[in-house]
Amino acid sequence: MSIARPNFQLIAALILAFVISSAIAYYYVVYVMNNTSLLFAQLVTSGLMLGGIYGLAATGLTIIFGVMKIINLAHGELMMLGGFISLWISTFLRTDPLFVLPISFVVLFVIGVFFQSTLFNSAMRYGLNPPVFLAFAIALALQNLMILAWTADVRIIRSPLIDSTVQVEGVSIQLARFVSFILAIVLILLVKAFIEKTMIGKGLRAISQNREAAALMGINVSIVNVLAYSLGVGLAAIAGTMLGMVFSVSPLDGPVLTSKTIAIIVLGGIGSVAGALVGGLILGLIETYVGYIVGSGFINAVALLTFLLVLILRPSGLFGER
Amino acid sequence: MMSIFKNRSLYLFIIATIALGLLPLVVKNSYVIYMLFIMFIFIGLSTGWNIIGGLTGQVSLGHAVFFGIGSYTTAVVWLSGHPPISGIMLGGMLAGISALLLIPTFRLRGIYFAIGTLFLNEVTKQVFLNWDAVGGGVGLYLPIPTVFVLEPFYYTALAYCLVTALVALFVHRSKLGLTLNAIREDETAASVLGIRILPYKILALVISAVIFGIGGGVYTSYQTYIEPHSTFHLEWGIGPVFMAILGGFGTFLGPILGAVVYTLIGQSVATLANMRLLFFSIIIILVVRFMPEGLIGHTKDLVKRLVRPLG
Repeated sequence: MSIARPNFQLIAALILAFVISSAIAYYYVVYVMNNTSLLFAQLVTSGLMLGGIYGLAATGLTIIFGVMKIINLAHGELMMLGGFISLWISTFLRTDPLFVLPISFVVLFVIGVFFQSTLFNSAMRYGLNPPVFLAFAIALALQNLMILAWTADVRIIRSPLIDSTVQVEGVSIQLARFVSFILAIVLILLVKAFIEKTMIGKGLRAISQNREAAALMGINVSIVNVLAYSLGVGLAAIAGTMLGMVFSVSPLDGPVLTSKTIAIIVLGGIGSVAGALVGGLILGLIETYVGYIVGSGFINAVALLTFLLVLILRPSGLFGER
Repeated sequence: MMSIFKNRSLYLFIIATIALGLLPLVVKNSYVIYMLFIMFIFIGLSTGWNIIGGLTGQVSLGHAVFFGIGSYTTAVVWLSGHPPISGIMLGGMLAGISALLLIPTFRLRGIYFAIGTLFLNEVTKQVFLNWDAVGGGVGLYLPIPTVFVLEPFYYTALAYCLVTALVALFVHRSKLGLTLNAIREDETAASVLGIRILPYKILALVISAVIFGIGGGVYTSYQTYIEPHSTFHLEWGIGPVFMAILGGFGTFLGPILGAVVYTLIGQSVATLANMRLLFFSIIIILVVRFMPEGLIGHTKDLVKRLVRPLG
């Protein structure tokens, strides 16, 4: 999580990738499938807005990895749990889910504190593998508990406040998507500022660079661990709620979301917040293209191909250090 | 080959083979025979997983994909009129070949391999769901035998389990096992000593994938119907991981013990149906938290503690 110096050649390559993939998609949508270019603009907007939510979820994951050096394999399930808790509380209090976001964040934050202090802290002493098993077992347990509590049905979190569509130059934008997108970007920037500017953020970065040295400098490693894990999980809850407002939540979606967020942080460079945002936007965009052109059955293959390609071409990711 | 049998192992192995081979002649209870059939497959799977996961330290969470590939190959070969055994063998081979897709994930250390396998499983499931030639989401109906006897399946699974155990024993006791162990303990040190890491990781992965492919085939030969969701179910990949953790990660006997305990617990909580995974994941959370060395490690401790006062 050290402040990575983005390589400017890479950013150029990135913009090129954006342009090329969009050009190919444009060619297909407009000339091969005979649609208007308006529909293409629609695809780009929905792709980017989906990507913002992905980016937020991936930011949580990347913070957890940066500090604890473990990949939180329960991330997708915790996103869904956050979504369900928002749904539940907003129905219970009869308020708009938008106002429940902070409550959902706090609830998942507390759950994160519990997991980290009772389970991960001790498992981390036995090497790298036990925390992986632990996270995966937690994922399975959460998934089944959620099925028990809310059944495996697909739910939509309705937000009456932003349940409308606006037309901008003929492109229709769902207000829910737009608000989620803006909120996600703002939150990511806030987190980035928090990590780079505050004293606690400095502690996070110090531990991510060298755990022993940071401990010798008087940083309380276990408290920072708890903080990083809980913050990551809390962000996942917000992203999950947004996903529910834009698409849907279901306990069965957890594993796919986990793998997508992992693909995003691998693409963006593990440990980099900027990388998580850019990776999220790219994945959201490409998924939307592929979903429209090839078919929605192939959306999940995009994340796998991205993951494998990045590992082959540039294992450290776009913003990662070599 | 015989040098891998040190001291009592050989006798133990022969006695176990004879006893389990004669068992169906004595026990006529078909529930017990069926439970042993499942147990043999689980033992095979968990020892197979342990070669890449426990011994080499490359944790895989999506080994179900190899199980599913073996399963589908067997079904397709069987339906095209050939005996299922040829399908089982072909399934093992195809599973081994498909494992090569994961080579890029070995470029980085750490968890990339685990994520790659999870991904591969999810995507392969999607492919099979959309692949009409093998039934798509509807699945495949397999030939139903006119006279049903459990014993042939029992012996197939027993043979599978014994051969897998032999392979695992060979891997554990040979130079290969030492090399894999060295890779698990410290890749840098191993490569400094002149071990080429990548070929060994690939070899371990392919061995375990072939074992899973064959296991999928053996299981499918008993089924009358397969479909992607249950065949590529995470449980086929995660169950063996749980068994290995439960018994003792990276040891030879651990996964076998784990598989036996897993089967017994699994059968006794069968009424939980879909909540079985919840039950097992909570057990695993507790095991990782309180006895990270698994049952084997603690049994050894216990034996030592009991024996010390005596001698």
